[in-house]
Amino acid sequence: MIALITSIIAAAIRIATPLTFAGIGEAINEKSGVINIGLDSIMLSGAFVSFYVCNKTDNILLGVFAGLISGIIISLFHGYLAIKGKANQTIIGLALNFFALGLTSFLFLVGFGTSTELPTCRIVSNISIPLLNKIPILGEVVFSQNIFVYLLFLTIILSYIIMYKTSWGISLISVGENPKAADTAGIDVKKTRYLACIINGLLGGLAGSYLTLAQLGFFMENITNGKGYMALVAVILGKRNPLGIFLAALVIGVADATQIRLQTAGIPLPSEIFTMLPYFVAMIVLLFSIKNNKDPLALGTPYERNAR
Amino acid sequence: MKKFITIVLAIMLTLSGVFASGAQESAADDGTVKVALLLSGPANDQGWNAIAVAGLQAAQEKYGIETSIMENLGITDTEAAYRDYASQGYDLVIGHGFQFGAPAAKVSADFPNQYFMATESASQTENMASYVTSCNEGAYIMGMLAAYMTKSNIVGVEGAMVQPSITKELEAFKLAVKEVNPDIKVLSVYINSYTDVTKGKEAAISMIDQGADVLYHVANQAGTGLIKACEEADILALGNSYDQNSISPNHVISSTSYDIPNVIVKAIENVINGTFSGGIYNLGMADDIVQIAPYHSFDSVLSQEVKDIISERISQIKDGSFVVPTIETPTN
Amino acid sequence: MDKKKKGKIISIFLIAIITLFISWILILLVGTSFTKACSGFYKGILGSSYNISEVLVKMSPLLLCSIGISVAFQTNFINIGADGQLYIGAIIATIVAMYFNLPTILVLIIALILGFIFGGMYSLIPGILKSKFGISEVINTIMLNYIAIGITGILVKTILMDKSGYFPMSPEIEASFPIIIGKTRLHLGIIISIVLALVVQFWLDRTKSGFYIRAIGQNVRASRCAGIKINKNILISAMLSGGFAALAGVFEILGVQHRLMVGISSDFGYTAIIVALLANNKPKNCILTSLGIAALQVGSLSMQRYAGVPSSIALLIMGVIVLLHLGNEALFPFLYKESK
Repeated sequence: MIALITSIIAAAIRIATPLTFAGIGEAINEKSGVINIGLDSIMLSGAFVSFYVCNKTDNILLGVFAGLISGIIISLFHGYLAIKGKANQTIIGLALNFFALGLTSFLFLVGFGTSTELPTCRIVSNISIPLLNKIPILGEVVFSQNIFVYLLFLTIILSYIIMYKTSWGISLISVGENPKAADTAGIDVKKTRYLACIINGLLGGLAGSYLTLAQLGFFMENITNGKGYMALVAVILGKRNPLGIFLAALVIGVADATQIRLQTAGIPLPSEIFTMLPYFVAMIVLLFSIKNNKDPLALGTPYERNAR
Repeated sequence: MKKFITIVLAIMLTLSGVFASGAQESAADDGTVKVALLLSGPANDQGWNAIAVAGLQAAQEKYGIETSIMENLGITDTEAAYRDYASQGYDLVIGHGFQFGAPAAKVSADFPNQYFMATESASQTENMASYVTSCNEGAYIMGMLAAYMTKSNIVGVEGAMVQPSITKELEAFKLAVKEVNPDIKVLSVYINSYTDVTKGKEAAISMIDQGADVLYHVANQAGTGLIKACEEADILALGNSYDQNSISPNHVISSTSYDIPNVIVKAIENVINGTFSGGIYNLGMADDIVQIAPYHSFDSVLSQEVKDIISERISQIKDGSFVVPTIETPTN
Repeated sequence: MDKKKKGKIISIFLIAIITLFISWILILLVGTSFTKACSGFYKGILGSSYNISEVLVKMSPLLLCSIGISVAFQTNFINIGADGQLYIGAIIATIVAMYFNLPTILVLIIALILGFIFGGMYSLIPGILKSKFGISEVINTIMLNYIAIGITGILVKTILMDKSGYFPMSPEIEASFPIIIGKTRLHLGIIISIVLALVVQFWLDRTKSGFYIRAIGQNVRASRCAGIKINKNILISAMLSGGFAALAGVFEILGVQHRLMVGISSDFGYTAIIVALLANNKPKNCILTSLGIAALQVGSLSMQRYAGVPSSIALLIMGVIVLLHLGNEALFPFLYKESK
């Protein structure tokens, strides 16, 4: 039984890691009033660029770095069109998803050609923290992980502090809730929003790097397979709170991990029921948390100083 | 602004028309055989689709034919693709996957002098043929290998989708394991995707966590995730579609490989010789289409006894004295 | 103002040139000749009456989905769920055709009516969540897409499965919308969808209820002050939106595919959002923009056949056009500099 629980939680953390990275980035973005449903495009470009660089240079650190940069570029482009161009943010995100899927598939095909030889790259190894890894269950699932997972814990704590305990966090929220008042109070609305976009790109890129450099060690077309949308679900479920997003991502992870184990236990149901499980769980949780679910007031609306 | 896109497209269309008029039209029919291949996924998936592409390239080199490939073809565009290739004068249009069967059969009626083909499908007409690989024969051998190699007495198999060509492999694998040793537990899972590699890997890890120490997959691209999981957990894997040993040389014992290149070459031969005829053809080990990949480094690991039993069974399947059952609905 | 208009026109050319330039580079990267690729593109769209008909076949679901999306976007109901609603329509059409033992004409009519109703109801779920509880419809509609595809997957393996094979698809459906031109797949649905686009446009422009929908899109607060029931109108637009997308599904099954399976929509619902956007959320403009996007997609597929250019180029070009269009003022500020 303990083995089963350990195995499910470990799987849940693996599934939750990219979702949480991307989710926290998106939450910060949304808190500032900019919604980007193009998370998939950020992750996909991060995954591809990380893989490409790591494959060519055999240097993981360089790969991660390149992945982050590509994520930031995509997110900043979204931010630029949304903040400066005042375009519909949802649709830019959607268009970016098309664009990034097309571009990465195209470049992967041109760069690696068609063959049955799988192009691979190195992946990061697990680091066990002495003593702590001896704790039952927790030791194995939390303290014997790869660097990305430790980074994740750090990100959760840091982003929580930044969002709720610092003055920048307060300006972030006020920019998303009432940009006009924030502006009057001397907060640079655009700068705050751009910074939020950069953070989103950084974390989304990291989520992409995790897929290729920590989880798989190779790249394939559409490797994110809708994980960007799943991360959006986690953002809503977690009410844009870093810890909440992590928990929501864990719920999604547990649902996913459980469905695989239920199947191997020989439960004769169509596999789609299990595949839909995370979405159902999300919808149901959403229904039960109806009362305290509130979007930032200025979400999706560009700020115009002179508008009334 | 309203007619924005139309204007853009009109401009592009005109310009491309200008460019197009400058293009050299290749002679309409100079007797070269033209063959087209339709794929449902990316051409570089290092699996199912990649082997078909390899087949077309082999045929191109051998016979100097003219070829064309369409990848990532959605179901909605399949019929149009068949029809367009046919009206361009392609002699043979091949769809790689069961979903290509029905549209191929439909289009074939309108182009009686050209040939159509689909793999893994159940459709046929006068000039349209389905080539079904008896991949369950390969899966059976994989099952036996798994049963001989397991130490924990738990093995696992992962399928992409519940559909006949995949289910029959999973079921044959289970049967084979039980034939060798009825006490071995076989875990099985369908991940509901051909492409989701992370899911393929997660499913594999869940079986490894339950004690499985030999895993087999029938999950195309997603199955690559399974082999990676085996590599990380340092347990044994069995590959599918082509010799997947190169992905992880120290963990992949062997693979079921389908000589799709040979199927395609044979079909093209038939077209060139004018002997192509419609129907459903089952191609298995006896036809050398389903093959068992070499053991590579595991050649020294496997005992001579096991190798003898395996090659004995392969020859029994080939001469028909042993028939691998074809079970197309999942059992538990 | 005049300067602005001029800027817009120049930007159109600029976007066309940039798009062509990007395509040119991409085609060079693949290593095929640009003229050959262009010729493939051109032939794929206009090469023969069959090619033209294929553009229209592809246009029909895009147009229907985008009509619905336009109406939804008018009330700021950001419906990303057209794909799922299309599947619901397709499921209903399959059920009606398989289980209702009626003359073809009745099957077609009932499928359209029931499809519209169920698609509308499916879209009401996020509609109610938004209007009553203030939950963002963006995520809900995305999740409902996945759920609808899952439901389709289950149905084609169980009660709607073709029992003669074991493939996850429904039996072939005989009932069919009339084909307009022989030997093509061009069915009556294309005409119906064009008529619907005009009707919906008329409704939005000339009727009181249509005016309410438009008013909300322009200014929620003013509309509320004017006594327009915001929630009711969001629900109406959500329902219509789902209904139209579902009609696309009905036509796909009874006009084009004749078999239900997962994959009958090649992202029509998502692409239609782009169609609606480029049409400024005006149904009558959707006729032209859906034709344009359909031509782009059909042309790129043909480009792949003729010149071996990967199909991902269509996604890329579509993304580029939309991004340049959305950001045209931010990206080409020099065109608008002297305005005011």
